[in-house]
Amino acid sequence: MKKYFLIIFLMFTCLSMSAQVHVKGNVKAGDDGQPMVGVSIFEKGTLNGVITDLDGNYSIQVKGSSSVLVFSSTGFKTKEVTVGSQGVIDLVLDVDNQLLDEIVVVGYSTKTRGEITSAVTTVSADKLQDVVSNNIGDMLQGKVAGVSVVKSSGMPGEAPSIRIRGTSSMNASSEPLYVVDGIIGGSFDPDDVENVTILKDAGSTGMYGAQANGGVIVVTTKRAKQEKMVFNFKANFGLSTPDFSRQGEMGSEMLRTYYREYFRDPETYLVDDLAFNAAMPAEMLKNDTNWRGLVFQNALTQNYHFSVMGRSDKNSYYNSISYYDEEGTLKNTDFKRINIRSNNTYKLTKWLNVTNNINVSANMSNRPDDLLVYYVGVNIPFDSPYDENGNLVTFKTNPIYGRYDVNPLIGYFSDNLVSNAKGFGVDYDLIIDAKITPWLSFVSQTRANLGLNASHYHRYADVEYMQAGDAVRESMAIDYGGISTNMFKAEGKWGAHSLNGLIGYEAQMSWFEDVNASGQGLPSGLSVLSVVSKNKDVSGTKAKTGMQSIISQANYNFDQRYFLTASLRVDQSSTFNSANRTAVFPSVSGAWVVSNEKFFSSDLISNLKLKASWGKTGMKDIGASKYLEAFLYSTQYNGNSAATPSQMANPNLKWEQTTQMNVGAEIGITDRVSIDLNWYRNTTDDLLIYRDLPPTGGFSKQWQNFGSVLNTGFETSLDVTPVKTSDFQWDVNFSLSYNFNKLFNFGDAIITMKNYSGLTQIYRDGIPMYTWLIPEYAGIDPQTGRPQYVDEKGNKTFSYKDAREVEMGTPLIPWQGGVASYFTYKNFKLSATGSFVWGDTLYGLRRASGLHSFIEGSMLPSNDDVIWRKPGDQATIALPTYAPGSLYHSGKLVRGDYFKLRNITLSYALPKSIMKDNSLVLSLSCDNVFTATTVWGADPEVGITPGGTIAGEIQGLDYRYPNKKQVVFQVNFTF
Amino acid sequence: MKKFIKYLLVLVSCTSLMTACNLDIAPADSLTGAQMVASPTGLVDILNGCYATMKDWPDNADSHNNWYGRQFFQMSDFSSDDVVYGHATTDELNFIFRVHERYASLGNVQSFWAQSYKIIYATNVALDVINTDPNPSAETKFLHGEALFLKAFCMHCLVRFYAKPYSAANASTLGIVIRENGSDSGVKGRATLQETYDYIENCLLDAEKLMSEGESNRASDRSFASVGAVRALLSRVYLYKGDWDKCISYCTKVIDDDNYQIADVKTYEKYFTKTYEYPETIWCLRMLPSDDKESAAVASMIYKAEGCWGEEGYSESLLKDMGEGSDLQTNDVRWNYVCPVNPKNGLNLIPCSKLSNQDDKPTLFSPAFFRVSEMYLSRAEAYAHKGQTNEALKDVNVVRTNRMKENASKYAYTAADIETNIVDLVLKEKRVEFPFEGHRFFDLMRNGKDLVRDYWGFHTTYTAGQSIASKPSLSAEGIVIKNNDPMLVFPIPTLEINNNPMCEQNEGY
Repeated sequence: MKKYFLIIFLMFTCLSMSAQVHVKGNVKAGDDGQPMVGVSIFEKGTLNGVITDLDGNYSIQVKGSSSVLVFSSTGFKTKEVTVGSQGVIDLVLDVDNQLLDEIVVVGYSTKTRGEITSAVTTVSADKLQDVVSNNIGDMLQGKVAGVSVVKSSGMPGEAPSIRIRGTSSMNASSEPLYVVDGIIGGSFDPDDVENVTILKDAGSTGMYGAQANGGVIVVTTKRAKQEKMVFNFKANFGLSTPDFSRQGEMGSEMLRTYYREYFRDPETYLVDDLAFNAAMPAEMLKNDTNWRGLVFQNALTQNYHFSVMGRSDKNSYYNSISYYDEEGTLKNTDFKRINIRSNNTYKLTKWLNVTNNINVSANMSNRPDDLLVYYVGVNIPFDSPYDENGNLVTFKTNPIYGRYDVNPLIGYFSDNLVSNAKGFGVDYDLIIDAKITPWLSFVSQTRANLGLNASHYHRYADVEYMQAGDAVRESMAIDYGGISTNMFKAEGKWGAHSLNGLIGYEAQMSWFEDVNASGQGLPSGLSVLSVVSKNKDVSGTKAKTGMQSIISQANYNFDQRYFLTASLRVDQSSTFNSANRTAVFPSVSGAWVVSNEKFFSSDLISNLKLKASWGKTGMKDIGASKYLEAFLYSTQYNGNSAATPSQMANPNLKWEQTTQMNVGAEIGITDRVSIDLNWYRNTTDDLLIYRDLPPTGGFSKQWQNFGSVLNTGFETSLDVTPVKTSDFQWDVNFSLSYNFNKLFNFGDAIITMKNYSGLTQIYRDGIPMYTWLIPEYAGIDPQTGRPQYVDEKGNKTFSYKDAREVEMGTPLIPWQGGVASYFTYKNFKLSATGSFVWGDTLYGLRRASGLHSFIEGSMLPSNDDVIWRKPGDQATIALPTYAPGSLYHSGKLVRGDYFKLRNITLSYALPKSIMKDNSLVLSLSCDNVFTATTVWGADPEVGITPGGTIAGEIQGLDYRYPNKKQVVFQVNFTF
Repeated sequence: MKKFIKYLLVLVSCTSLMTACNLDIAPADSLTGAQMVASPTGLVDILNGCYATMKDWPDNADSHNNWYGRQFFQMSDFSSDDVVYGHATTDELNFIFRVHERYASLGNVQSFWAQSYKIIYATNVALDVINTDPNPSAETKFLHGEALFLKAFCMHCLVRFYAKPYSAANASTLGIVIRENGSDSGVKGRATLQETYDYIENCLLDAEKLMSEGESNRASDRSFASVGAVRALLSRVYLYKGDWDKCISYCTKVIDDDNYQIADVKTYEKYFTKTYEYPETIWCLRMLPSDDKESAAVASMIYKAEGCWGEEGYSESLLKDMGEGSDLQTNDVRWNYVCPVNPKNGLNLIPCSKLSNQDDKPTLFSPAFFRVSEMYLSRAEAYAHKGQTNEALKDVNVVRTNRMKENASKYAYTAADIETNIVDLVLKEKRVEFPFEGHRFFDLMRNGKDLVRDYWGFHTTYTAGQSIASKPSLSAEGIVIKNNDPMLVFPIPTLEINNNPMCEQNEGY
């Protein structure tokens, strides 16, 4: 080892052979006065250079007294000193605050903004935290070009799903990988976040290889910035209301006139009012129950966050505690979370830093009962849940008009139905950073994590429900695991050349175990498992996954003008059998900062950078051991062990891999405008598809690698400061992105995916993923009031089964973007953010219009709907006789376009004259202010995860927890 | 520095040790094929898995409404003239009633097909293992027979739904895809109806021999296959083939078997809540309380109780055949399962409690796929077809007199009770005895009878507001469906057609 160092030192010595003047000295940091390690010192105009050692000392031979030494270090202002007659030059480097903000954590390493060679976007805490939420996804909505954040539910604690640059996988996960404080995985409280960096192309995600197909979200939690001990206290009080979007409901009177249509004779087209009045007497109007109104409420959200940070010579600390308490807009639902974080870095010696981060969180929530939500959705206003005295009545024995003999309020307004969940998680990170020599360090990052989750459900027999009797169910799950990354990092600087890199080994393993139990026969008032008297049932399983990897990366930079980054990662995963287990993920990226060229001189263009990247990433998240032939023992027959063939062997199963290309430019115009443009082209090959087989062979599906998908598009973001005076500043950010998705390499194969009742999407060469395949609808026949379809020959037909199936649109989002505007006037700030989606096609499953359900629901038809009443009517709602509700057709496909004004925030910082060194900021914000959409029915912001059903269905509010609107008052006190 | 480097070296070597981490991870809840063969209980477990597949939700089920047992009863009974469809639902059962709107990609029709073949595959895996045993033990022989029986049972159910009824004229039309063994899973066309029936018959004849020679400690458990079950299925197969003599012979074998005894009126009152205990049962699919399918159970559709949809009920023509308005309504125990009227959507639905109330659960029931009463009525039908009216009447009356609470002999049929012909009389008694048990639709089909549903319900173009004072017109959509209407044969599921180009689709789809 020593010899090796010797050789390196000799190399430096050789470089300085011809020098005539010897200069030495010591470099200290401007902020804490500590000696600086690794400061680059080179002789201007030559390749001659050295770096400071562990004590900040350096020694260099220069040509002569006229030589100029350039001192530089990341995050500090570069200094130039003419040698003159000085033999010793001691120096203090000042912190470059402007640059410091621009340090970007790109996974295993950090870079300055200028060094970035790939498509990377950083969002700082102040831009994130206008929205009050317990997850970072909500805060990112509409703020980053190329990132779609979709939240289809307003359930407390519910996280949205995130897609970076489109969807690249059919059946495997497309969610991004989270990296917290440099280590894959991990949990955090959004209030502890310093910034979030989104890695979008393989130039940066390539380092994460097999886990990075969905992009990477790098989260950095807070650290102390200054020596002074700083306290921060933040409190939020929010009031939320449910957002039913455009899914209105009819009152009794209106609904009754709608139901009258059922009494229209299909031959004479006349309404039999005698029968109508007999079946639906006017007295039924005595009730006009707003079922929705009975179970939804205005709800309170509280969020408190307290932190303290500071640092000294020997250590740096950040400690925080936060409490989040959200009441649901649906009664009896809530989410509470407490989070504690402690980040500590110790400078044990000059060359050894140890960082010790702990995050502990615990949450409790009351969950909605999906069936009760459903009953409320389908109950009709003619039925009242109360008797004359205002007591809840049973529908079991009192005849009602509605479909279900269930009074859901009995379940809502008693402790007789309880559904709750608890979670607890601990992450412990240990990071050892040892500088072996000024240019070489060893970094070991290890995280151990533990999660415990429990859920409880019980229902007493007197709750009215579509299941008989009472029930209690408990489940407990534990997950634990660890990841350890051990790497050597080296850096060197020779004149204008600088080179750094890393090589390391990473291993990760995770375990999951659960136990579920249920039973019936609860004694009055008791609801634990031990007290059940019958029908006890248990289940439980264990799972384990593992991966090991070799990682490496090299970054080269010449004179801050030319940048080159290359990385290579080798992954092995337990998902595949030993022959297909290993995959190699290379990437290379480069950038040219034109504006740093000598020939480039412009007062207007302050920054011009061109960048390009190429690389590979992969995906494997389909669950463990999907290549094995398997007989599943999770069932029994008559109390005996039983095994069913559950998986057909596929020894050839392998990685799904994406080859990514990105070309981009960053343009800065004075200090007022900055533009970031990126074009990308990603092709994913060997898609992991849960593919159909002929069922007669014994299996209906099998995991296979088949086909490819292309995602290509561009992203633009534009940050403008149109006005900037000492008192007033106006900043505007725009982002716009377009993604084109196409399947290829399918040959002649046609794959369809359908939900349980037959709604279908098709996969074949040349069309986008999730393309709808649906019987073609031709409107209502004006003569007969019957729905018409188009048959194979293109003729209209009344027969649904003769309708031809057509390909029509996809729920994938082609165009999306965001706009944000920030006004700052003296101590006031006003911000507004909005986002839009344009060009996707959704299925309006519960779209209003249609009279098919006589006694189910009271959804208000859209303004455009017309009921067919007599021959010649141009209508959208058919004669009820001909309109069974279960038919899917193209008439229910809708454009999913919307614009949402996501947030408006007004804040006021108390003047310095009052606050002195402290600060107090008061703000008022409003989330989900307004949605503009052409979609009738529920919110068009719908899930894009296929899951058990089909991507892109607009579920009605009888199946879905509505989103919410929220007004929040915040106090932020720093002292 | 030196110390530190040493420390580093230790760390690095630790790291390289971790390189050896084992990434071969076996699932915790499954065994591989090789492990199954090696397991001492592997064979029994696979066969138990066949029964379990009939009662469980499919793996990766996209709907809780799809499982073998539910689709078996719905596809047969909801296709027949026994059931009123009382609420136009988004559930695909809609298309079982609305025969002319059926299409090939229906999920329920596909689920039944796929689950049936999954069982057939599992029996083939078991048979492949057994066939490598040069000296099978008595127990192995029994299991061999059991595997053949389960395979034959599933194949016969498939051929009844997805092919035309067997007749000399139809013999060379399409049957089903025959899967010979566990590796026979590629692209393959359909055998003829004749080949399919021959294959089933051969399986069963082998099974009868093997199970007679073999031994098993579960031979007497009615929840499992037995030689009696094999013979019962053989009698049914011969009945469907119109091989009357063999049908009579096998019915007699079962009837004469001491293990079985027709339920008397007292037993019948509680029989359906404990099918697995009574000697009436030859083979039933045992559902434990934990197997309760609740709102996805068959009973949930036809029974009005907590946890039940109760949107279907007895048809008027069935109630008429049961003797509505006569003293049979109080005296015939089969009326015990006829529930009070449940008005819905302008219809007067009559729910049925027959498939309910095992272990006091409204939706729990262990369906008897074979019971002795069927043997009497099959034999009666075979005699009737042969013109042996007296023998036929005698068998019909065994069933009938065991269902009367008082004066049983008064209700016994005589030749004078024959309205059209003796076959129709037998079929009428079978209809009254077996509603909601998956017989009626096939009885109509194989006897060349039209489906006549001349009552109001959503099987026709009924709307909730319509008057039900007069009967629907016989010419209205869905009321009369001719026996040879191709839509009465279910479509081969799209999934099969798309992935198995040699498999032909049925006419009309």
